[in-house]
Amino acid sequence: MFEGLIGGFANCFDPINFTLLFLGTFLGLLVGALPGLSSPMAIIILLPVTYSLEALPALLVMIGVYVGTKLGGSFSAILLRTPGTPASACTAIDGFPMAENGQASLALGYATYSSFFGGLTSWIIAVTCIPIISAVALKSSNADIALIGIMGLVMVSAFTRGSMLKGFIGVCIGLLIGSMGMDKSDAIERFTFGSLDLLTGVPFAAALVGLFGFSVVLSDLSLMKTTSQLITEKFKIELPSFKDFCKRWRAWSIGSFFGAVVGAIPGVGADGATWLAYGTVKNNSKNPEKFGLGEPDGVIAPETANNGTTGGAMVPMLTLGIPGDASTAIMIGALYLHGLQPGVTLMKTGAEVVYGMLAGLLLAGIMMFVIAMGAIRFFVYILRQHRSLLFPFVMVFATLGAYASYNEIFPVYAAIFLGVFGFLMEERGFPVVTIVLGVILGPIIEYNTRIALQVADANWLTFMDTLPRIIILGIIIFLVFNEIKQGLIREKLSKTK
Amino acid sequence: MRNIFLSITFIIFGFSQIVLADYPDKAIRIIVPYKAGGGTDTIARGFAGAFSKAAGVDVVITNVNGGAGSKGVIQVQKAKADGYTLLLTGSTDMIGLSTFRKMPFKAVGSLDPVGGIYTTPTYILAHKDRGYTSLEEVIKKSKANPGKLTAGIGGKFGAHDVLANAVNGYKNAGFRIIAYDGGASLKKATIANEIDICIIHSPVLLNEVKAGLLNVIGTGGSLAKITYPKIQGTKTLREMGIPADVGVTRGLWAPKGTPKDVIKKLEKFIKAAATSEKFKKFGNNFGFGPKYYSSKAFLDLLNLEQSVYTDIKGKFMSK
Amino acid sequence: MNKSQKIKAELFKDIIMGIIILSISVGCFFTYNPADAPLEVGTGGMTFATYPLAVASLLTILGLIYLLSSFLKYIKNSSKFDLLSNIKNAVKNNQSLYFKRLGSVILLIIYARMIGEINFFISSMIFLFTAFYLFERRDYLKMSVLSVLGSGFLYALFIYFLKLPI
Repeated sequence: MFEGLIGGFANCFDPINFTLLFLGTFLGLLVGALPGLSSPMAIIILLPVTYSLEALPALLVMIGVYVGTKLGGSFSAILLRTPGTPASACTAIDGFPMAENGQASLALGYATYSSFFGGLTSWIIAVTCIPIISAVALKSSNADIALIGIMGLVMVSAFTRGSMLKGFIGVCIGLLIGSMGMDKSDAIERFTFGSLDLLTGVPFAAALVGLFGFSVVLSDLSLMKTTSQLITEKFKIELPSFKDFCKRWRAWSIGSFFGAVVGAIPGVGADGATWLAYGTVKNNSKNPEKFGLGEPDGVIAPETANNGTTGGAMVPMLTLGIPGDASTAIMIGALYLHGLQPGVTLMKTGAEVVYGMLAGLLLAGIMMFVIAMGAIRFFVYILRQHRSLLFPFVMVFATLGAYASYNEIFPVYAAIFLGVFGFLMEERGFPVVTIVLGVILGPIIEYNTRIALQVADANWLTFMDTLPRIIILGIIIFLVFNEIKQGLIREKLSKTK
Repeated sequence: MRNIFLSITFIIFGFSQIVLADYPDKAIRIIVPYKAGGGTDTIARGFAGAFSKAAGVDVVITNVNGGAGSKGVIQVQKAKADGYTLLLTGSTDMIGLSTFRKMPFKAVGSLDPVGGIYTTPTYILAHKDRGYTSLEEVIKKSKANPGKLTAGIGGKFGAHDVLANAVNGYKNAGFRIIAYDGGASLKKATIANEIDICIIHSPVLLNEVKAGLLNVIGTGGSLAKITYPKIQGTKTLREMGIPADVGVTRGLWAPKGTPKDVIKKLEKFIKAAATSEKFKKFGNNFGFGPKYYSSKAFLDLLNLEQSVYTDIKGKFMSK
Repeated sequence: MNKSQKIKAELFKDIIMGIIILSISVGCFFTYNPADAPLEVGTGGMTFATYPLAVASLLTILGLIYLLSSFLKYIKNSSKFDLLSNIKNAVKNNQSLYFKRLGSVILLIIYARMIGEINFFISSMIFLFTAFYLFERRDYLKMSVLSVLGSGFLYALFIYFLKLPI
């Protein structure tokens, strides 16, 4: 194993491979930072370009893009509140307020540190515990995923400030939006209003772009007259120091934990891990009321979790041929195209490529860190521009990003509609974050619950069948009580105000 | 006067020849109605390289995912019939959609099939720990405990669903059919031994069969050409007394009304690409040698598969 | 308007929102089955309708709580509230803001509609320039240069690099 890895690193330092890995990471950061564009999209574009390459260099490019977009998506989440991927959406909750408070470079810096750290720990765990991670990936069944999804949902109070009633209403609306379209188990249409465009429901990336991106543009138009704080202040780039980062060890250790554990579970992956990490860190924080207003821990937790899922997603892909997310699914296809056979035998038949990819994963993380740290100045400069210049570009990118995700125009209309809807809801105090939470977790919970029940022949006790499930159920019950307690405390506070 | 008339005629004739002779002069777009990384997409990308070489132009693969594969089909239906937009999907994927749902297209009739490139039967797998060696054995066990054994399929109304219902219907097997949301989820459930049998298009999971983790216990069509000799003689459904052939042939369609000479050229390119060394190499790595169908042969295949599906739907599938 | 009147206006908007939420949740019960599928279709104890209707019911309850609490607060508030004059005032004070918001949405819809119909480079240029103008910029030279450069970059990225079918 160890010799294999050393061989892998040696391969990666081959000049062509190294350059390609670097280019991939750079591209990934750039593409991820553009609102609406995502990692699978960038990888798909690069597929034909990689045909003429050998297997390892081709996959190194993809890994670079994969790692780069994880952080890049967070850049646009922090600066523009338009995340590139669902996983980055969580970063926007505290990242965007930090940017609005003039701490954009600080937020980006924390995000970069966290992403690197998350990627590093996940890599170490992945490489040393390959059998354990494969086992987690294999043994986690639909019932476990459903419970994890419910756990994320129940933490909703962590994402709201103020009225919990409004938070839950937002979540319910998100759940309903997420259930539009053909039901996965019976292929029966729901809420499609007879329209063929809605047959698959609300296009997912469009929902993100609309609810976060367009709605923030609409609402921040009210701030257009005022020049942004960053312009009036002296232009300063304030990056967090390594010591600052270490002080916040609670946030990034919880984030890494969720990333490593949840990341290995196919189908939940980064989307679930980030929300769980954020919620847990907030609930256990000494100053939870600061979350949502620009608290750095609120950036560190999801960012660590986000990149923390990379190791967990790649191990099942390499050892079992099971993709953890859309990007790894494309990589599996690419392996076939380059003459390899992903599956249980890949570690033996394609050992050189496998170890090369694992080595590349670590190197890409380092490259991502270096490039991103250098690029923060550039990104903050863009943000300093007046909103009247910035917003039209945001709108265009968001529109094209929604279009590019599905290669048709309907998602754009859906995004515009959701943008207006999200804006109106935020005006009345309903945090859009809760709607997004419902849209993301709803389908995961429903599909996995139904399959779990089908496999167990309608026996609801299957959700208590194994020790992990009992533990998760226990956590859910604890969280529910916590929510009720939180709600009562907030009620008291608002009454005394 | 006559000279002018003649020269104009020559010019127009010559010009039209140039215009017609110019197909293809820009990139051809192939629409795959499934996610990138899936089986059909991988085959399409494996094919694109050889097709691009044969056609002499760039080939761009665009994934239009959604509606269980219907969104991509509809997009091609609406596209210009100039030969620059094609559909690549499975024969029975299209038939399944149009047979079982109210779709504004039919596999046969609303698009022009131009050729088939890759045929794979649907086969039935079981995890080695279950100990099943043949489908008949499983059916017997299921009959004794109806509703207890689970059969996983990759999605409703496709070839998998038809095979499962054919077995349940003709043999009264009583399997509980569980529809997963795609090949990847079904793969995982099978490897993790969560279901009794798995119905999936070959050659997916062939790797795991070779490694001894899974057993092939039956198939919807002959496996004689699969690249793993040990399972080439697997009993087919017909040999077990179930009158159904179930498989999927990936092929290309063009929008209706595409000019005949463009179609002829496409057929030529597809034939060259499907029989090329490059595609053969890809196919063998994937698990099956490619098989080329001319547009007529492909159309005949579609009609045959359509009749099987309508038959089984009528007999055993509600709604 | 004094503070109490402002609060009353906000409460009124809350009531409207409550009504919207309730219409969504109640509407679910009528639109959940557009293909008229039989309700027994389903496996493992849950049908296709179980989950959406469960959520819709929960939303109805929550929506009712929200609407009722807003309504009660509204009635308790003693200031006068005149809908028409309120709207007139809001529009008068925020005319340019409302115009910008409406304009953005309309511009986006038009831009989306024009994708595929008009050359992408031109439509993006027009969109950018119009948006700059809508957001009250009048430095025409900078606007034009940015529109052209911006569209160029978009073209390179989306058409050339990403090969979008536009």
